[in-house]
Amino acid sequence: MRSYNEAFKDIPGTTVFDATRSRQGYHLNMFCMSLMKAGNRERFKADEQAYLETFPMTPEQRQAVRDRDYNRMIALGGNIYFLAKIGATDGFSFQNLASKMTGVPEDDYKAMMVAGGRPAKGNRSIADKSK
Amino acid sequence: MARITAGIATSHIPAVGAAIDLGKTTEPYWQPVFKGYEFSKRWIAEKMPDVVVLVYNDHASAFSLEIIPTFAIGCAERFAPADEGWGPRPVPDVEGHPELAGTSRNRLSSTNST
Repeated sequence: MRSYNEAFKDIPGTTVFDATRSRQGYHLNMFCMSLMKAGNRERFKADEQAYLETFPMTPEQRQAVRDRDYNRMIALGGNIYFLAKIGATDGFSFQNLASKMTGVPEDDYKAMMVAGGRPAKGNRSIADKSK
Repeated sequence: MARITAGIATSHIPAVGAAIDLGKTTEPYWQPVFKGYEFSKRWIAEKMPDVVVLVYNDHASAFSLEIIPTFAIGCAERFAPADEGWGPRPVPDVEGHPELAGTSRNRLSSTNST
C-alpha cells in the first residue's frame, strides 16, 4: 500500500503543498508575502535580482521568479496563494496565471471554466485514466 | 439567546474581487456568477440579520507562513481589506463584533466556561 504522501503524486496536474514543500519554499513564499506592501513592490520592480537577494532563497528559486516560471516555482516549494502576489504585482489576472501554468490559452481556459470546469473523470489518477 | 436565521455560501472564486473592481461584472464570462448573486443580495436585504458570522479561508492575506493556524477567530473592532499585490481593494472595512467574537472564542476554546 502506498504511503499517504506517495498517494499525492498520483493526482494529475496538482502538486500538493505539504509540510516538506512548505519548508522547502518558506523563503520563496515569504518573498511573495512581502509584495503585499506597495514599497516592497516598488523595490522589486526597480531591481528584481537585488530585491530577491535580500531573501535567503536558493539561486534556482530566484531564477524561477525572474523567469516568471510558475510551475517551476511550485516545484521548488512555492504555493499558489503566495505566488499569486507576483502575478498581481505584474498586473496579471488569476485566469492569466492559470492559463500560463496549464499551457491552455487564456480564452480556452475561460471557456472551460464557463462550461463547468475541468471534468473529474479521467483527471483523478495518473496511473488509472479510466477513473 | 441568539437565533441562527440562515447560512449563505458562494462558489470559491479567487478572482471575483478583482472582477468587481475592474468593472467586469457584466461581461459574459462573469455573468453566470454575478447573476446568481442578485437573488442572494435581494434575499439578504429583506432578511437583514443583526450579525453575520463570516467564515473564509485565508489566501495568505492575514497569515503568512510564519504562523498558519488551522482555525482562528477574528476579534477586532474592524478588519481592513488586504493588499494582495493590487493595492487594498476599494471596499469599506468589515466591522467586527468583538463581544460576540469573544464569547465564541471562550465557548470554543474552553470546556469549562459557561
